Amino acid sequence: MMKEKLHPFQIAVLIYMIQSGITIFSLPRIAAGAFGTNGWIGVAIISIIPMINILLIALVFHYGKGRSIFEIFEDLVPKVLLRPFFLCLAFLWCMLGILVGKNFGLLFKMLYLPELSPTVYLIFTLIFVYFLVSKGLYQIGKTTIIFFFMTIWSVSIMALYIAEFKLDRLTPFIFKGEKELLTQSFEILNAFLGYEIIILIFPYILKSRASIKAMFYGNLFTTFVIYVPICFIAFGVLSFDQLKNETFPVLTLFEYIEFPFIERIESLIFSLFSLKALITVVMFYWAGDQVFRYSIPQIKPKVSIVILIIISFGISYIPQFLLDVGNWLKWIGRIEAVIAMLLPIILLLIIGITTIKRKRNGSKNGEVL
Amino acid sequence: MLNLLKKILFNDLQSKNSKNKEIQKNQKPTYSHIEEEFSKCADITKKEYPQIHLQLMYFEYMIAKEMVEKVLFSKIEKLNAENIKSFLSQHQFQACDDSKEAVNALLAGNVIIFHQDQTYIFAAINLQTRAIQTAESETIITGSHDAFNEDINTNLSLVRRRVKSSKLKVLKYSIGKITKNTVYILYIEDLAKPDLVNELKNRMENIKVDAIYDVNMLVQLIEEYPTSPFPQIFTTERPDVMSSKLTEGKIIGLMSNSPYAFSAPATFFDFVHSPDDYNQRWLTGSLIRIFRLFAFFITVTLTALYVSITTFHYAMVPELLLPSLIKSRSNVPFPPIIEALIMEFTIELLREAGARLPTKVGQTIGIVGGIVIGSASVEAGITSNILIIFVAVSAIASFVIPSYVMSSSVRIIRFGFIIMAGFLGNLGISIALGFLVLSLTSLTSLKTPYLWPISPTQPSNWLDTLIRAPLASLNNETNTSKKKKNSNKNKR
Amino acid sequence: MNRLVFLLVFIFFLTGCMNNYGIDDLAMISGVGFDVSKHEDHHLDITAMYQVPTETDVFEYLHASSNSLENADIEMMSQTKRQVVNGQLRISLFGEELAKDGIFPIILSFLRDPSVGPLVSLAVAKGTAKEILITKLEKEPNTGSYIETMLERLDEEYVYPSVNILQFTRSYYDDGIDPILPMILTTKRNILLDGFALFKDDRMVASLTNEKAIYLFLLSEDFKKGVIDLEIEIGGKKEDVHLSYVRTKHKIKVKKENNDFTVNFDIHITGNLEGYSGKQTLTKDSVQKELETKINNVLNSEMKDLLSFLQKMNVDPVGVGEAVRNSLSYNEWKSLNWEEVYPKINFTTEVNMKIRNMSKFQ
Repeated sequence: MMKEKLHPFQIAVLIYMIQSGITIFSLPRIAAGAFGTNGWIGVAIISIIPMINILLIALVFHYGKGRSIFEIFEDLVPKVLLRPFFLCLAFLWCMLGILVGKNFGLLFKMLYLPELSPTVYLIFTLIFVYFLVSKGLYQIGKTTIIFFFMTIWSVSIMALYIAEFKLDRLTPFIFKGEKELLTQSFEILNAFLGYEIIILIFPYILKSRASIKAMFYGNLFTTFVIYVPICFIAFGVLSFDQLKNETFPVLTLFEYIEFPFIERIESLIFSLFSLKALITVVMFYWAGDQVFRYSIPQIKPKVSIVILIIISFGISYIPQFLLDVGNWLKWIGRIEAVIAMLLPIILLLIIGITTIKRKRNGSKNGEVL
Repeated sequence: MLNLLKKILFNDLQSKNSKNKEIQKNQKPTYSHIEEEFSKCADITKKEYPQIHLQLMYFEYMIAKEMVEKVLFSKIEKLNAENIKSFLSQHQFQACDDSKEAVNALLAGNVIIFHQDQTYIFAAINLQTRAIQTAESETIITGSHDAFNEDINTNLSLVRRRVKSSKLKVLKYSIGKITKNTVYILYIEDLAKPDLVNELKNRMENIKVDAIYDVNMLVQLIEEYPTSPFPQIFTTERPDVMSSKLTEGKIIGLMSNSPYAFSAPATFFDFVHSPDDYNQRWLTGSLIRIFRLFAFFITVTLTALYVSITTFHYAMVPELLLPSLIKSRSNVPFPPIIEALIMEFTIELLREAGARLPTKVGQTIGIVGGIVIGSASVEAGITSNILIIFVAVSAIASFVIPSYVMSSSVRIIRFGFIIMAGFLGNLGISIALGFLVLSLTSLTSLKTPYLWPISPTQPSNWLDTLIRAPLASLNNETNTSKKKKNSNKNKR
Repeated sequence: MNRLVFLLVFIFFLTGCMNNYGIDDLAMISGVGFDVSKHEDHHLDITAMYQVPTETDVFEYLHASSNSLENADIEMMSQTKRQVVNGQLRISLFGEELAKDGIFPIILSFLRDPSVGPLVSLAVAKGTAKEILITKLEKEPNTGSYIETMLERLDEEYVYPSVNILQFTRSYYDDGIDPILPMILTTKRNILLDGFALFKDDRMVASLTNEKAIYLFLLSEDFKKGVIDLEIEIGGKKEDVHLSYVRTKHKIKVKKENNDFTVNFDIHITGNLEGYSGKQTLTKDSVQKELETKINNVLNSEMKDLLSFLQKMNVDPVGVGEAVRNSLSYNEWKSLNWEEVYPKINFTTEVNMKIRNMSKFQ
């Protein structure tokens, strides 16, 4: 029986779900900080970087003929060198995963549930991780889609701000005001990160145009259906300096909605977004698990994820507070951004070198290609 | 000590077994054999005609007496040693060379005829069954009302008369070492996927069980995830539903002595659909389907939401509701989670009591439980009246789900939600939702994803799952072409 | 078996964060008032009211004096057996004197508290906030909720806006507009809206009466459903005009010549003429035209008066700054000293009033 492959729709949704996490709640502020006035345009501009990155990954997929990155690496690099490299990568991804989870737990504690111990939340998350990762990517894909439908509706609530929205507030100035373009735009990029994991899903998708297109659609959806409209609304509802001072402008917007039967639904929406954060965490762990199993092939599938969970859970105790976690996330996020860019480039180089080598070998041996 | 006991017991059993000469397959049936097999059965009738060396054996209450009297007994009496051979060579007497077969035939209600060393089976089955009646657990308003009953042949005929096609194939199995129930597996040849049929065949053959009494038991033996709270094979008492499942390319199963039939593969949405959806206008049908899905979420989350709001997220209460909510809560000495659990537990008891009792008494229970306990417990300050509303609404919402098995499952998982909400508030509810989704998406029914076509996604099929689009857009021809597409996809 | 172990682990961990209070154990503050303290060490007098959960329509008051809202917590908590929480806060009142000192520190502590939502209404109390909060209306014991509902209804039915935290903060931070707040007055028997307080940053610098405020809103907003009362002079006699269901559209145009700004307000008004005390037959076209021009003149002059008053006070609740800002480039706007430019702006108003229909009876 052949392995079940991910449907293009699932790929797109998966990319969207890994990309957007709880950064979305502070994104307008970051955009204002990075670009100044009308920073929402900046979000669209920054999205070009992941777009290029996905293009590179798609090229790897195309020229690598759908082989997994391990196979591509092995063409040129000896396994002895590869294994420690992937071990580091596994460690990095698992750290990123657990920090995203811990960050969410701490935020929830701060905002709504002072009694909450983030460890409890983390344990639930890790149980999820265990179940989903041990069942494989196809299962993750199936679960992700339901989570997607469960959270996507909340974006439509944003449409209720028509009354408070004022075009004048956007100001005609583009990218003016105090700004820290370099540091803050890295944070915007962090809001897009996660897509780089698709470099590992090659063996699980069909080799077709639709799959490649789906990767782009996923990123486009995140950018133009979620991030840019939300930032646009935030810029039009809140005044610029107010936006810069709100830690979670999007949460404030959600708080602003009142239904006759329920108010302050932001805690409900924020809770639902835990599912989104969860998929991000799961996918990072899944990626970590993939490369971990490659670097230590002797290990059994279910054992590997347990080991990763235990190690990262231990390390997650080092940063105790929201600020520490935020700093860790920032730095690991930056490393991750670099890796996301470099990995496909290296892979493309390897593919290029091996094809040239093969051609030479081929001509030496006098074979007709 | 224990081992010794075991040994003794086992020895005992074994010796008994050896004494009781088990009838082997392919053994030639003889009168003495069969007689020994049914040695202590007082209800067996034996008839002997010594002049012509003829012996009969049958269960009187399982045969069509008048017919047998007329066709068999009256004729036998006129027989003599010469024409008996030619009489028995008539086609209604089926020669039998296998004692196991003979025993089974006898148990099924046939007359066994022994003549010299030859055995014949005379088909005379006439089991008493109830008539075809209206469906009781799955009532609908518009549409056909007949339901399966305990007679498998009637059930078969109910399906056959709806699906008049030579493509409708029927496989026969006998399940249960002692009860020996007949199970028919039905499918339409070109519509059902062959690999699924084979898979189901395998599973049927691998069932090892002594006794089985109902389809609902049977399906639990062939499910993939027996520990899951959700039913993975759809059962119904409605022949029209089963026929429609057949034409959808699913495989259905009937079992003797069970007024239910099953269909596989099943998806979650099979359990929340009702034939009424199709019989009404498409708009009504679609709306009701959406309501049902909504009801599913209400059942699962409403009481939990009450607990979470009253324990943690008091800010979510609207201003106008607040005074009445805190007023009624203030009389209650327990924390909301205990209060809610007590109430839910009571409702479950009420429902169970209502289901077990005869209909008339059941109504009384409803009144006593609903009105007396409800209002009294509010006045006594055990629960707040707003909770009663929440609990009642979520209970009603659970009854909207047409499948009884599914609605029971949903009610059970609700307790998990309440507990999570009591400890972690809204976060707990969403974690519980996450686990619910996880357990739903990881299920498969006969290798088919449980939440198909939502996940894995096939939007082209949403027209007949989330909503009920106009029949013209769902008609058979497009359906079959879709089926082909799907099967192609699966092949890839 | 595995699942059972997990279940036990769940419950084990969950019991760790068991929370034993319910909604009825809270003192949910619904209204809070801030005044300047007479106390020497402290800056603020805080009055808070909450509903007693066990009773219907019984409210208790907590009093504290401190330098900030956060510091008052302990003092408030010691006055009740219940846990004091802010999540159901509906209205916050500021005494006039305090409003003149600046209210942003209090707003900031609201903004920082995750339990306080952005929908809390704000208002300035004429006199002291305490006075208003402890007013016991005969049929409306929930004073806080009463004021909030009143402000919201006025917002929906008329043109007097209610202002919540989000809106106030927005105007506070915006460099092109200054915030306003409704003003509340208590008589012994009633609580009523009594004009609007104009803020420069977070300090109240002036106030407008309800009648004058209408012209402010004509300049700054589009009415969907408003009421205007006017006095016009016809043939030397003063007549009252009452317009209802007023819809308006306004446009602000900014012209820059050298360093002088001319700001033109173009306002289109349509409304039903419901009340008129004059003697003319209203169905005549000529009478209608005459009335319209009279109304236009009155509105024009009233608006001019208002604008020059605002210029004198150097407050900009209309949002002229926004319009000017949006007509300039960023550097021009930043190099502009708005504080100095604003009083010198030349305002022109063009009102175009049309009577939609006359009253039912001639």
